[in-house]
Amino acid sequence: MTDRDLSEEWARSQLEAWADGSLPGESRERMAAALAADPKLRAAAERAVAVQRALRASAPARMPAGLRRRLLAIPAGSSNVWRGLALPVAASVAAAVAAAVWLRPEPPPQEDPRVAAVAQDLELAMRYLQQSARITENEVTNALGSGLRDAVDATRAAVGQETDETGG
Amino acid sequence: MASQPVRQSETPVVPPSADDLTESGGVLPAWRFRLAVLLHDRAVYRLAAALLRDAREAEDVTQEAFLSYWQHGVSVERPREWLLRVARNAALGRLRKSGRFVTHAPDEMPEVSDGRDPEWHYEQHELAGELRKLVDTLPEPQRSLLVMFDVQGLDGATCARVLGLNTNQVKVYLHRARRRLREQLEGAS
Repeated sequence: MTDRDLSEEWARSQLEAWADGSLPGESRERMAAALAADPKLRAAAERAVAVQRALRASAPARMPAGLRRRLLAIPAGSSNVWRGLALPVAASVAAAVAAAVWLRPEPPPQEDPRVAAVAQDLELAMRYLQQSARITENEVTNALGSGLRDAVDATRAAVGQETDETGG
Repeated sequence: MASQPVRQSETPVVPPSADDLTESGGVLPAWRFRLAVLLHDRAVYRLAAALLRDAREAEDVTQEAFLSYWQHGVSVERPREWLLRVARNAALGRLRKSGRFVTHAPDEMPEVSDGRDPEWHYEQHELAGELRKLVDTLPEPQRSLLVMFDVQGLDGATCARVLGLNTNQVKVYLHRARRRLREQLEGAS
């Protein structure tokens, strides 16, 4: 196996790391040189990028309507589940029933509608927080942008004035 | 934004009711269960759906995972990872039972600006469809990892905890999975 083969093999094995940007500096330079020299490797690199992009862009499955409601109702319904499991045992072995009843966890706490309401409010509040973070980010970017523009304009005006005064 | 797991040791975000305080012995308080549902139901469902490719089954697996959390979650410190792990195991169990399971494998971007034409988007759509089929042929844990990291956008540390891997293994498996997909696509074309 020649040095060139080895180098090509190395480059092929690093394509995924190159594509997701995790290749460290020196290796990245080596890869750039290999890509510049080999059109086939370049095509494979483009394919690696395309694979990652397509995976990230694939739409995640939408949760069915009503699933969250059913999940939230689990605490209220779980006592029935335990009862359903305990009945066959009771029919077969009385002692096992006693054990099952004894081992059964305490019934879940009564659902407090205020808790559910607060949890929903919390989720809403988190959404508002995310939204306001985005808005603030935009505001800061705009403010910085206009501040920089003003500074450049002022500098330009001052330099122009100075040039006029010195006749340069 | 990635949601943070609710830890038992932290001060609860939602104030517990008097009932919760008296039930703190061995039963998961309902408010903590509901918070976990609100924060993690989508992630759990999406993982199950991506592994099973069946909405009905994914729904069942999601319900099983949360029921299990309600029954056994009192000492769980990281609900998200715990739920994802339970859902993944349940999904893989179903795949195995129905003969759809892919066995464990032997060990053997740069940014582009968007001014693209519709043909490019069509090609991407086609590629995504092709990839979906190929992802299903990946061995575990590469498949779960790819779904969680690349498709769901979970961070490497979370994926590592769910799959019981270290962060280096996550990197290696991820690159291996992507390489396999690329090579299969190259082979197909």
